[in-house]
Amino acid sequence: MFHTMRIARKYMTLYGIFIKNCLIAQMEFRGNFIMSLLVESVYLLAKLLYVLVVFRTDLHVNGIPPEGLLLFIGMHTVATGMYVGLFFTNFMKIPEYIKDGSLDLMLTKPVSLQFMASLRYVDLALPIPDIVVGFVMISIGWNAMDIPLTFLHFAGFVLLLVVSIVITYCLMIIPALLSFWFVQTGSLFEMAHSVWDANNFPMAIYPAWIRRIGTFVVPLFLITNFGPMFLLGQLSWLYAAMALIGSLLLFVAIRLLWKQAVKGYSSASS
Amino acid sequence: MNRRRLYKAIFSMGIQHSMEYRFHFFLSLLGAAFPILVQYFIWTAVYRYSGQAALFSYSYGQIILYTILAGLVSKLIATQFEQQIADDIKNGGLNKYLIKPVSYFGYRLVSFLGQKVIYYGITALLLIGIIWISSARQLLDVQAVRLTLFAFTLWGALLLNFLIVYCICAIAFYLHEISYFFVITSLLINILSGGMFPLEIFGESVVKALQFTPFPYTIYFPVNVLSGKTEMAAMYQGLLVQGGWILLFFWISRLTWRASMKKYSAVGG
Repeated sequence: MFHTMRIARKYMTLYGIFIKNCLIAQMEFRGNFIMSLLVESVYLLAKLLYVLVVFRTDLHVNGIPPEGLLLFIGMHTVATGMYVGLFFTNFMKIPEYIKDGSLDLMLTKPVSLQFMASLRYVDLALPIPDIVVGFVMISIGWNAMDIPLTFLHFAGFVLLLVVSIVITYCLMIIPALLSFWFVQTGSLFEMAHSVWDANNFPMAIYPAWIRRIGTFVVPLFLITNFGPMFLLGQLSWLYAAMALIGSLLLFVAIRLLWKQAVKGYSSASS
Repeated sequence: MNRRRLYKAIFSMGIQHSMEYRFHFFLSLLGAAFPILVQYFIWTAVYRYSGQAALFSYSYGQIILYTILAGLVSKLIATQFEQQIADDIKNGGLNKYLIKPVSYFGYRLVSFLGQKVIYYGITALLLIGIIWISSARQLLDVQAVRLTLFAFTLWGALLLNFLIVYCICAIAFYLHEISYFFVITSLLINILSGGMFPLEIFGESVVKALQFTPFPYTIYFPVNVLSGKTEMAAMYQGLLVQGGWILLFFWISRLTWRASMKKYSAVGG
């Protein structure tokens, strides 16, 4: 137990150093920092067009009014912010590490290879617009739907946000993992990103078979649906706990897949 | 080498280039299908809840048809040469065109058209399928004149989009790190052209204001010519306006490039 705590502390300290290092690097090129902010804001603007459609047509999904739908769109925006901030840069780099052999150097370091390759970089500019606007939308929805601001509501929501980050990591790393076997994975990422946007709305708009696949086979809908559903009283604590266990199991599966993939790594070009 | 043979060679190079990444192209077509599917489900939910026959002046069938066609057309007219031009300017690759008897504009245009030929063919096949299905479901009243004008205006859209992007590329003479800039402009142009949603969702006054810009003539207009939303008279008028924009942007592109070229310092190469 004590040993595990020590390892966890080591990795947390290391992650803190990564963040500090990335901040220093990004502050060196302030123009790029501002451009990143702008790029993500334009993407956000494109997403907000969906909000425009929702309000202009007064769309109700399963009895949830437009203001309530903001909870879902807001959660999707926050999840997107988390993805582009914490994982995106790393996952795009993994195929390059494999291609140019820089994974070799990482293999020699006294830390977990998966930790090093998939969490080394943190982008602090990209997520700002998403996270700010996403939480504003969630607050508007929270307020408009008269959801009480109790500790239990808050704790449940935070728990499901953590679940959503874990699942995001597990699902979006798959194209990068496949690059251990295939050389060209650019279009796989492109596909993954277009599937990602299916989460912009409550899963209730999709037919039952898509909902089932998106919940049990590829748990994409868990990322943005469970948090708002919990707040709206459509999801019990039991399901929230099951989502947590499911996400941890998924993480274990991805961990095993990673180990399997690294076994076949032949360090081709270095 | 005479001019015709030269441009024929560039054209065929463009075709070969597009065939080089055909697997990527098919996957990206598949990738384009996802946003269309998501929008299909959203619009279905919107129309089911509202219970109205038409929203933003589109019936349910029309809006689905618009979403599919706009997705296809925006894929077709998309340009991928911005970064190459920026690199040519930044790293001095432009030098080899300046000292040879070939126009850089001509090279880019002919190579772009060459790259699009196969795409145009595949899109045409997909369109035939879509037109056939939607006319069988009585969503679309197929008229020969509309089909012909659509084919014309689609080429016009391709050319106009090329010229707009080519003008924007001239900014690379002034800014060194420009890849972010292209991401922003291409997304904004796509939204303003009606590539994501029909322009009507922005409200009537915005649609009217956008009519005075070139953007609707790249996606919104061609799609509505085919879908039958544009009136006959407005169709011919639109075609003329599109032609006018093409001429104007051709002139602007010459002007901006001539002025910017004076700034070019031919670093590297």
